[in-house]
Amino acid sequence: MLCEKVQALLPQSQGSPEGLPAKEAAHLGSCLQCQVHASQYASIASSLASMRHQVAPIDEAHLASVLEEYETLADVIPLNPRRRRLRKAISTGRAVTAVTAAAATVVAVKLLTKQRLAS
Amino acid sequence: MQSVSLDVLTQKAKQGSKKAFSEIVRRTYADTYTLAYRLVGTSEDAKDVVQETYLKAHKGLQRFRGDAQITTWLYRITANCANTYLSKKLRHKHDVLENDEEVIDLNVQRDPAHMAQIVGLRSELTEALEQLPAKLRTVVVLRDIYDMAHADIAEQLQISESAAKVRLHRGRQKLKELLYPQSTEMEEGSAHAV
Repeated sequence: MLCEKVQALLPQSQGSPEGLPAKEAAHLGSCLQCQVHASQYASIASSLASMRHQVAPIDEAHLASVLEEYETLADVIPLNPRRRRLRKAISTGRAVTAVTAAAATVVAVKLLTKQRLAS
Repeated sequence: MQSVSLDVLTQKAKQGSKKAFSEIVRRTYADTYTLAYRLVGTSEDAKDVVQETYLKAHKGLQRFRGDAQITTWLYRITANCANTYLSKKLRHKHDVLENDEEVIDLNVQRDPAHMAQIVGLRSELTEALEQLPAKLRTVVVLRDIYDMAHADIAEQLQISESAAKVRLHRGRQKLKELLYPQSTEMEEGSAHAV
């Protein structure tokens, strides 16, 4: 009866007695059949964890296509829209300042010319 | 760019550097593809998931707060994209898995006997994983290979945390049944005898 209970808990603890309640952990320490199941779960757990370091070989052609698609998208949707808006605002501001300065210069030159002519 | 850390690249990318984001893609591609392949089971599907993952990452980069590593953040997006992809696909046909690709081990283990044991079980494990239903496989891969938290898994798969735990439990049980059938048969036999 206790074997069934212990074996039902083993997937959760991955075969370790540490994740089990005291009574079940004590049973695992003395039951050979449950120990076999526990060691199988523990083996699976350590093998799965070791798979974390495996990587598939890089498909260069696919990587290139991902990068290409990204480059195209990045031109349409900027990475940092706020920054782009700020840049646009600054350049607009600069243009307005330049036009105003040019207009002021023209007006000033005209006024000076008028004054000279009058005198 | 090669010597710059991923954290620095992430900061630069968030400030709008296209080059930095491209470098992140280059550096994380193999990991992202491997996870996608493990989740969807075929090379072609994994490529679609990877493509979608980086598009989502690009769109959502401003929301990345940097409280986890960018690789972990990309794993979450990959899991989410793979889940969406599989849900769409499974609506039309059953899961067909192919074993068309090998994975390279980058882990350097010092104990050859332990390594041999793990390598032996690992190839069987890869096959067993492929036999699991997609719903169970996804949770086992994310939790037991990528050590993702239950809450994260639940969020990405759009299920409750308890549902994620149940799937994990079933997935681990099923894996054991596939890898150690004699042990399961013995158990069933003794149950019938009683």
